[in-house]
Amino acid sequence: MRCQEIQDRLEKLVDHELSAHETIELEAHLSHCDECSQTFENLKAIDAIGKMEIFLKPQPEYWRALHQNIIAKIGKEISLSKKIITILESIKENILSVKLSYRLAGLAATAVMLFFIIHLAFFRNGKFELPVTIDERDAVKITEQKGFQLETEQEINLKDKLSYEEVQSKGTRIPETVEDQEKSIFSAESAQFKPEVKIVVPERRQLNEIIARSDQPINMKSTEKTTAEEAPASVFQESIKSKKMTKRIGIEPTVATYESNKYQQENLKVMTVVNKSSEQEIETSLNEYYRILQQAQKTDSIAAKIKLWEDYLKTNPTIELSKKAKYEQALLYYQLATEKKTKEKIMQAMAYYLENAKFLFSGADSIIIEQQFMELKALFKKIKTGN
Amino acid sequence: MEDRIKNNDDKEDLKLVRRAKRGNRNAFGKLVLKYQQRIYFTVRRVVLNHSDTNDIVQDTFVKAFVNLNRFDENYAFYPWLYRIAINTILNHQIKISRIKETFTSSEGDSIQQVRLTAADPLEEVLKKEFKDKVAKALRQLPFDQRIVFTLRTSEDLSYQEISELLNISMGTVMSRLSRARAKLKEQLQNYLS
Repeated sequence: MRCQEIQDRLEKLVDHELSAHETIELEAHLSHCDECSQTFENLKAIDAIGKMEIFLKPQPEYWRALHQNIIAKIGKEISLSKKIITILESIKENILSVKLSYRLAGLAATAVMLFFIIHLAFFRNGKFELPVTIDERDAVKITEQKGFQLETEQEINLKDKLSYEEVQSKGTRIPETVEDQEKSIFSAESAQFKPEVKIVVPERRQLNEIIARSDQPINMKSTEKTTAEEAPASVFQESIKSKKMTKRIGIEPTVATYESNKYQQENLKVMTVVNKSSEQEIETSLNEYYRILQQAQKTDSIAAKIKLWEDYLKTNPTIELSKKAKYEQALLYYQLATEKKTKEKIMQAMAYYLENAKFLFSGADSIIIEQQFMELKALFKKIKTGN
Repeated sequence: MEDRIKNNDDKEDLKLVRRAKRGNRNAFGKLVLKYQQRIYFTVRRVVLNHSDTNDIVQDTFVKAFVNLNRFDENYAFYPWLYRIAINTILNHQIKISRIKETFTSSEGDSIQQVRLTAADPLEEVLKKEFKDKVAKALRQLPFDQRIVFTLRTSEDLSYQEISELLNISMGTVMSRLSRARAKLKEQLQNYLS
């Protein structure tokens, strides 16, 4: 056996960590190898150091003192434990001595307090705001190009932060009262509203009444003022056929959701607002909508899709898309903007979001919309600063 | 170290432990008297400093008393106490690293110390200078190496036992032991030859 192999195992030999066979083998080698034998002895000498009494032993008095100190410390531990137990028991007794009803009331009060604290913390940041920093002039220009008309009487200040309510009020006007709603539906010359303004249908109560009298079609082409009862029931005839729609009618007091039974299989949802349109006109609009939808689905280009919808909406000014459709539109604008990364496309997207803020920034998808809007804003800033 | 109860000594310990569990301080006091010196010297060989050793020994017994309910009566008391001592040493490791006292001077020690008796064979061979050198060499060992070296040489524990006590692998035990021996050899080469 080579000395190097032996040397590597000598420590184990010193530590008695070798098997009997290995021990005999090594000891046999050591008996005739001076070098390995010296190494082995050195190891033993070093180990002997560990056994050395290199410090002076304490005197007997120390051991007595040590013992007393330990017992005294144990005594303190016992006292402390007893005190803790006593305190815990007294707390327990105090709690148990209180009436059950008071205890429950205490717990309930704590729960209510916690609820309010959490609630306040959650809504601590205040109302929702739309931070907008696009250039006002550009914004006006872009929205006009799109065919959306801003209120010319007032300038919309888009440089400042706009609250949701401000966006809503400065956008298209929505008639709020039933009287206004009636006027908007049946008045041929409603000067108050632009043609593309969303026309409202009567309130739910009135809608239901109209549905109930749906067997009495009313001529929508009449320019005379008519009452709510005379609203074109035929408008809702399709919806009556659709079981789904009866639930949807009147969801929003200002807008009716209309789903054609014909297209139910394709799950088309079109929000058709009527401004003295006949049933015929509605059918035509829906057909056109369906055609555009199919065409857009076949098109890969996002820009082409957007153009299709823009052209459709321009030629059908009375059409207002459903919330779902608006979300899909917004996504198209967002995708185009993030794909092209040009100022124009980003502003176009942001203008669409703002124009349709009432629909987009409410509801379940509002968080996604908000995120998208913030991304667009950040992207615009980045391009503007040239980063 | 044999953990299981084997002999009468272990059984005597168990009787005292049971009484101590019932709150009998005198019973526990007898266990302290029986084992305090052994624990002291084990700790002292690793720590090398009397005042820290004093603290660690006291802490060890107090911890043992507080945790008596966790003691498994199927096992011997001393190995359990020994483990507590090692853990207490490890917890005091930071303090141990600030050793200042030398073994030769009485400064820092609040107690009088006695010299080793002439019956100690090593005492006859080794000179005081060598003892100083040895103490210095041990003190200069990193704590991790020193504790392994001490447990192996003065406590005569196996690699396996050291591994379990310090919660390190057998390989680590061997490597630390090897490095400790190499450093001590380097420091004390002249004396070894």
